[in-house]
Amino acid sequence: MRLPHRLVTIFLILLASATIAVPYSAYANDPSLVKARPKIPGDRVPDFKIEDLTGNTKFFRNLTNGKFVMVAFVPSILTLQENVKAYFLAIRPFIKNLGYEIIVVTTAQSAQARAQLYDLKNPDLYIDPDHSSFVAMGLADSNNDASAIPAIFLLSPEGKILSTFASSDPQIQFSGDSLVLAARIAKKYDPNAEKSLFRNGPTTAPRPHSQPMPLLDTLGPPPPSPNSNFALPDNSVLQLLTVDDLSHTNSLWIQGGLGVTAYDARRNAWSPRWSPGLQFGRRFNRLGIFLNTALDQTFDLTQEVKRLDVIHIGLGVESLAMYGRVRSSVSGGFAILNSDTDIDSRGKIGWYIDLRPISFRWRAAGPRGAFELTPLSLNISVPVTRGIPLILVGYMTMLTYEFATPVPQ
Amino acid sequence: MITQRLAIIKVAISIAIFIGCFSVSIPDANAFKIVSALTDGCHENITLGALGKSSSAFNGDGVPSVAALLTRFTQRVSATGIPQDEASRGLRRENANRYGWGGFSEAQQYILASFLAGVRAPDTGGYSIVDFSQIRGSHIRDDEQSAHFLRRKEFDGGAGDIAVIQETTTRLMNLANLVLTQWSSGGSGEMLVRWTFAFYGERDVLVFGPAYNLGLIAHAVQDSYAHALRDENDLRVIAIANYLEVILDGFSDARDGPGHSERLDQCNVNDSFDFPRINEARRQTSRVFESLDLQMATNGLDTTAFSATLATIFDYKPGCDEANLYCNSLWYQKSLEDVSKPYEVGCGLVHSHSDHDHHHGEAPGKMITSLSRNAMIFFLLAVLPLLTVLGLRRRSRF
Repeated sequence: MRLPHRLVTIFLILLASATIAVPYSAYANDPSLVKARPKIPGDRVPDFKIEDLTGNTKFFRNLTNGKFVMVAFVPSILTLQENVKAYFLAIRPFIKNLGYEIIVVTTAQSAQARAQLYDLKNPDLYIDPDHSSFVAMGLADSNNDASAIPAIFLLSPEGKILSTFASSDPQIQFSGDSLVLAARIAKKYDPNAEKSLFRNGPTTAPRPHSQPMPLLDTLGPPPPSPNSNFALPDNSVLQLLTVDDLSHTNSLWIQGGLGVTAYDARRNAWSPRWSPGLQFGRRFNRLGIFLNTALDQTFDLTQEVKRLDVIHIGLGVESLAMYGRVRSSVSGGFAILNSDTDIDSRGKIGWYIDLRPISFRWRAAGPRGAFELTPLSLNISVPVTRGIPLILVGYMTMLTYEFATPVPQ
Repeated sequence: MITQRLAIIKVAISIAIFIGCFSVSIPDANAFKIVSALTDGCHENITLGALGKSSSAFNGDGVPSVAALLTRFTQRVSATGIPQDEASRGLRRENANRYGWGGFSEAQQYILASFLAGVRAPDTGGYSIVDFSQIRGSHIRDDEQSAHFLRRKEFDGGAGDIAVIQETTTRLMNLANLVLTQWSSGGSGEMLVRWTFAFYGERDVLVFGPAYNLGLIAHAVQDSYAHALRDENDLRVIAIANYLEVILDGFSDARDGPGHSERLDQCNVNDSFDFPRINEARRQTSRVFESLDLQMATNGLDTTAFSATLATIFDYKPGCDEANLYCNSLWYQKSLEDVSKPYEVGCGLVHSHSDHDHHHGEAPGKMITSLSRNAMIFFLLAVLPLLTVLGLRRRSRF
């Protein structure tokens, strides 16, 4: 007997469905397993209520809006563990240093558990008595503490998830190093760039909520193990990861500064000299080029006080090291005599070299600004090269301020 | 991070030392002041006054033969030619701008600039007044003290006074002979001397030799009114000051004579004590010029009149010492108002005279020494932080 072709097809579909559905429904009916899926990067954080330690109810959005936030969800079962406390104590200063607010949400109700977490240095601890935040974040199926898994999220100021660290698998630990590194990378989050990315079709775009989850996702991870997840990070690695990079790579920058010296090295004589100047540059990776302009004024005390004005216009190259904390540069170009002397008239043009072997930089006035101190630069200015040459040689101490703006890719 | 901060601290300390050195090392002039950023030009103005060419209160009664001297010099350089190299023109232009010689001929400017180069030379050696190591180096030369009418170290007591007068007289007689010889030769009288231009530094310039050497003579004559105590009635010398032992320490008032006084170096024409003193220095400078001009008028070489003039200027009155407060001289009382102090030596800025010489031929060696020192400063303040940072970077690799 020959079965109709259509019947065979229906049978095979039913058989396949049964093969998948029967064991899954058995697994899904196990109350000890979490079926929820943690929120992933690209998801927007839902709003929920939590309580501070004095019992006041707060809306999560109000606490976090406009800030970079690291929010950790710690099931009560983990709150008494020393390794959890040590983990947050270790990463907290580094995350804070990167500019993140820290919020720890727990379901812990016991005074002992609260005290344990409250012992964290300046804890940003909140209580979620009904597990609603865990459910909203996809970390628990229901108001059942036993089903909650721990997770840490990095959030953008717009409330979007930038990174997710979640696992109920005890073999997969929350690497403090990875978390801090992710926090550092996520700090460069640009919502406009993200919009552009989605318009152009991202290769790893987060899955929109409207799209049905793959079947296996709904199975959810196994429940947390009391000894899982929170591994103490290496402090020295964290320190390296959180070094503030002042390089302002791939940017256009402007520097305004002042150099001073009191001694002319060629003439071996005290001769006050100062040089206010501007530099305009384009920095690529750790190297850059720039235009240098400066008014160089020298005062001579040989007899009465005399002043000499020289204008410097030239090009230079720069190199940065030590996360932008050290800069070396050299520039050279035209030196224009802008005042009469006993021997020469203004208008003569020569050359200059400005060597700044080591400049120390530190963050100032926002993420795009930096102060720069050059303890000693070598400045040779020769505005008159013929006849009796006019040569000024000085070791200048310089203080400058840099403002950089990123170049769009 | 800590190492980097330490490097910054090291550099900051170095800069502080650098600035500190500057603040403790500003030198005092050791004679009637010369023009500088901080001082009036006593020697320059007294000399120009003696020539009847000062535009200030330093101009006293004219001395006819000094006017004749200038005319004689001007005619000579007009005939033999005025140096036209860039540095020599710069010397004339600089002084013409400073003293308002715009209405003078180029020959007059040349003559007057030569006088001023000469009268400044004993104090500066042609270097900048703010080239401290050179200036101080020249000031502490024992054999150059007589150029400023000062004692050598070994010239003690009343005998030391006489020794100074003798040594200074010998020095000035030699210069006078040189002046008369230069003049009588009939040539251009050009001499190559050192001059420091603002910003450009030291250059060799051509000056009119007789005028330059008269400037050297004038310096010592004028200093005899700053570095000696005189009787306020007849203005005879009663004691000569000691500079070397005051600034190098080990000074004994009773043995070494009165200490060099900054107060007597002042030349405030509005001061009742200073004015007659300055006026006398100016008048005696004119007399010295006049005594030599009498010979130059005839191309003579006789220095008798010059010697006699010096004898009256340096006339010594014995018997005045510390025990009798230098015969209760008002000059002594004034000198005590601001006696010079020992050098505050620091940072290698002060050198003994053996470190320096003033011959042009030694300039390359001096330059190498200077470059070595500069290179060392640069190394300490720039390269060491670089090495520190590189070391930090190496340690931080992972």
